Order: sequence, then structure tokens, then C-alpha cells
Amino acid sequence: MTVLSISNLNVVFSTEDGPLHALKDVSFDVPANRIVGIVGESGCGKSTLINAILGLLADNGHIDGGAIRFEGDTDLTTLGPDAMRDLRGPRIATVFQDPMGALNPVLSVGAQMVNIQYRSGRSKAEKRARAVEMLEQVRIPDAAAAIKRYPHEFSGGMKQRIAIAMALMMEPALLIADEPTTALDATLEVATIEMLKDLQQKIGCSILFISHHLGVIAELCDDVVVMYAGEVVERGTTRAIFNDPRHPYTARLLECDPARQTERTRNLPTIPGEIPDLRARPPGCIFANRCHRREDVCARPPPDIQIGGGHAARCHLADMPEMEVAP
Amino acid sequence: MTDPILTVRDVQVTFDLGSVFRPSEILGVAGVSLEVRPGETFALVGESGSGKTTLARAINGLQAISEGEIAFEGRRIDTLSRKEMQPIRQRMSMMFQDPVGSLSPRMTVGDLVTEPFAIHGQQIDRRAEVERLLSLVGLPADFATRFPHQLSGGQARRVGVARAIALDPALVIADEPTAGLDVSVQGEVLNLLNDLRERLGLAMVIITHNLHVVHHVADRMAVMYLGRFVETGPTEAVFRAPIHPYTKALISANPEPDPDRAHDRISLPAEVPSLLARPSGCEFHTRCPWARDVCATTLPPRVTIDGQTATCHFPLRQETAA
Repeated sequence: MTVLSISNLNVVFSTEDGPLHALKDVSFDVPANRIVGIVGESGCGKSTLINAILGLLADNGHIDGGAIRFEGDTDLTTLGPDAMRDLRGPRIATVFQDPMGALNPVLSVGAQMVNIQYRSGRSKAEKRARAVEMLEQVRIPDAAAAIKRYPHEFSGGMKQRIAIAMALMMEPALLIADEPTTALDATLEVATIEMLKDLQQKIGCSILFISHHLGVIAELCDDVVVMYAGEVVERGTTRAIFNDPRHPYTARLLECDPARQTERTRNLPTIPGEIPDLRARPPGCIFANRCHRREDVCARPPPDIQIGGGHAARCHLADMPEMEVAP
Repeated sequence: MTDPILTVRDVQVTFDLGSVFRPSEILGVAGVSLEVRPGETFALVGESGSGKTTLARAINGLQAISEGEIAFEGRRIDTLSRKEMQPIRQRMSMMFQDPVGSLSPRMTVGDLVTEPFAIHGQQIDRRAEVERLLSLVGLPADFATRFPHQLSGGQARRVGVARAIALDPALVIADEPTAGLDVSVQGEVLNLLNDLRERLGLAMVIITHNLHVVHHVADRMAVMYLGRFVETGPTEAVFRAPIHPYTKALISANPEPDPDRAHDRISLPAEVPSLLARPSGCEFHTRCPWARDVCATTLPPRVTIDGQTATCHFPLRQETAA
């Protein structure tokens, strides 16, 4: 069963300098009960993708072909604003990077958690009990007293856990988590990831987890989608992506992570060059101008080559293993 | 051994809370000492709220200290007035956290990198200086006419670096130089800082909560917890064999980009104590997996092993690591 299935999604923004193709032929699935990670650098289209799923694209953006199927046959790209609003919250919930932005500073945590259950049909006491129960689940100590407190009385890590509790309160089918641990420190980051994993098992939802922290992705996610300049360049299980990357961009990105350099070095690897102008996409491979394996064939659009087990890479050379380059 | 360029001795920073009727105060920095020598990189590591940025601001004179002494290039600076501090900042510059937010959106890159000269009343050949600074940080000269919103995070960070080194300082304090940057860009910025340090002989104080950054750039490091140093020492030694349980937990908590790696992770209770109610005895005992009764009642002693110093009743090792 697939909770979310995106196929050939294209998103175009109208800008002063002409149309900008922010997403090009994006396809991937989020199966039930799986955590799918999206990795990519700033400007690769992660946020545009989330907004497209939520039906919250900016006014100058529109979906230019493709489908976003949610829980079976519903194509989110064809739903009106009212139908989308009914889905957001109960069926598709979100957690963002900044927890303070997600909480109302002038209402107590309890009041907010009761308010967002307005469509549940529960009594006030039931709503309150449910709020306390959710806070306990995200390990807020002394939850019964904590719901009377205001957001500023909690630490950053606790605020993010409260935001997660609120997102999962209606037991959605899909949780979209946009860099939820980026603002946290290492010890809190790990605690938050472990908690998210537990809750996902308990509630039985799927998570679409966006991050540029490769360590967090490796630890939390079942599957990984690698995005570059608005395209999905590679997707597969976490093991396949980290142990056997087939797209040169994925391979370079993994190498660049300072965490991969176990030996202390003064000269860290980087990816030279810049992302091409998305208003004038090159006709061939989008990564060709920065790729160390570029060949003549790369001037033509690359196919999505299937490597097996759901592992696919948009690269002409994906089924040729990368040769070790002599130093 | 050369004389330290920066000496911080028993510095405390207090913040007033409460009101006239119910005064209360907290110790943001609770007595820390450190020395930085010319050409050396010193890293401050710790969770948010551990006092890293407050300490950096105190060193730079942006935050008054309540106890202790700060000396820079042999001269005591914590007692100087704002006006007297101004010329010191030519020798000691600061890079602030948010790469784009720390640049004025109304100024061009050329104006931004030459602003330090204007502030300090130095006459310069603007065009030549812009070119020199942009090339030092690896930006093309035509960036001079761009505005901050036209820059990527990494490019904005380079402009911040150019501003920090414009007046040829002896010490640069960098607050989270890689926070919010993509992994491929983090490497670029760290390489740039390493390179400039060698070419210009800079000393640096780097503040970060990213331990991988520390590992690759810092010569020595200090781990902060609730405004105190719980462990200091040479970076490689601290990573190889930490003495303090908190250091060990921090190093083990780092998520590794390898799905097959078995984690022998020390998980800490997530609750950081409030500065308003500091724990008794060893302040880490409420989260320490090795804590015993004595930790809750008695201040821990200072232990020094091979130049690594920690404050702990039960240090994780007693003698030289094999």
C-alpha cells in the first residue's frame, strides 16, 4: 500500500525573467509505514515539493503536469482549496524547522492542543486528556501540569517535541517533517529522532523527512530520495544510497560530508561549480557541468535507470560502476 | 612557546532577571579561563544555551563581564570603555552566526567588505581593496555590485569572512561559521578558514555545536556545559579519549552518515537543567550515566591528564591513553 505516490510532477514559477522550472519530472513513492528521507542542498526544490503536496504553492507557481496521489486514487493536484484544507491536519500533518513559529506564543500549550481537535467531536475533557496523553508520548515531564504552560517556558528541544505531538495528535496518514532537528544540538537531535521513530511505529503513519544532515537521514530513514536542481537524481533504500550510490552527485555529496572524513584533514572535499540557472535548464543531464564523469552522451537527457530493488538513478552511467580514480 | 594573544581568566557573565522588587540573576558564563596563541584555532563546543556565544561576545567587548579578566595582545581589555575598545576591534574581528542576516540588505558586497575601513576611518583605494578581499575569499570581482539577497548561503558566508579579515586582524572570532550551510559548502568554508589562517597567520576562536567541524579545524577545544568548561584539551586527544562523561556523550551522539554502523551511543536524558536552578555538586550529575552519590553533593575536582583537563569525580580514564 502506498500512502503518497508522486509521478512526473512538474512545477513552474513565473518570474520576471521567464518561467522557472523548479521541479522537473519528480517521481517517487512513500509506502505505508515507511520513513522516506529527502536529501538535497538549498535550492534543490525540497520546499517547493512540500508546498506542492500541501497545495500551498506561492501565487506565481503552478503545477505543470504530473500527479500527486494520496491514499489510493485521490489526485491532490485536482482537489480544490476546501478539499485540501480538510486533508491538511487530519490526514497530512507537518512539522517545520522552527518550533517557535509553529506555536502560538500567547496561548498555553494545552489550549492550542485542545483547539486543534475542533473537528474530532470529542468532549472538552476528552480533548484535554488526549492532549496530556500526547505530551506524555513525546516525553514531556509532568504533562498534566505542562499543558498549562506557555511555549516560551519550554526549551527548544521540548518545543519541537510539542510541535511533533500536535502534528501527530489526529493520527495522520502522512507526516511531513521539514528539517525538524536542524536547530537542535547533537544530543537533542538524537533524542528527537528516536522519539519520532517510536511514534511512527505506534501510530502507523508514514513520514516524509526532509534534511540536509546525512547522518540523521542514515539513522532514521528506510528510503532516501536525492534531489538536485529540482530533479530526483537518485532514489532507493537507505543502504543502497549510502553504500552503493550510482549517481555521481550522490557519491560526491556523501564524500563531502565532514562526518565521513574520519581522519583529520585540512582540506575537505567540495563539489566545484554552481547549480545551473533553472530558467535555462541544460537539455542534457542537469549535473553535467559539475560532473567528473561527464561524457559526450551526457548532453542528451538521461533516463531513469533501474538498478533493482527500487533503486534508480537518473544518469547515463548509472549501471557502470564508478572506477576508483588514482590519486 | 610564544605568548598568548588572548587570555581569559575566571570570567563570569551575569544576567539580571526579575524586577526591582524581586531581583534575581543567572550566571551565563560561570568562571572560564582560556588562552589562544597566535596562529592557533580554539573551538568552543556545547549545546545551545551553554554560554558559547555569551563568552565570545564578552571577549569582543560586546557583553560586560562581572568577574575575571580578559587580556588581548598583552593588554587588559575588559575594563576599557566603548570608545577605547573601538581600535582594539581592528585587531580582533567577529563573524556572526546567520550568514545572510548579518549583512545589511541595502548595501552591495563592495560596500559591505569596505565598511570596516569606513568605520575605523581608514583611507583606502576602494576598488583595489574590494578586489583584494574578494579574491582572498574566492569570490569573482564582479560580485562587488551584488546585494546580499542575490547571494547563496555559502557566498554570503564568504562575504562575512571578507569583512572579518578586512582590517588584517590578529584574531577572528567565528560564531557557528557553518551553521545552516549545505554539506558541500561547509567544506568550502572550512577550507577557506584554514587557508586564510595559514596565509595570514590568524588566531581563531570558533564556536559551534557541530563536532565534525571542530575535528577538522581546531587545534584545541573546550566543551561548555551550563556556562563552565567541563573539559579542555588538544582536539585530537579529546576526540580519541575524552575524560568527562559529557564530552564522551556528545561525541557518541553525533549521527554518522552510515546506515550499517552499530551505535554504542550513550543516551542522555534530554532535559538540560535551568540556569535559574543549577544542580548541586557536579552540575552534570542529573544527566550523567556514571553519577554516584558524591556527585550530587560535592564539587568535582579538576583532573589533568596529558594536557587534557576536566572537572569530574570519576574521570573516564586516569592515565595516558594507550
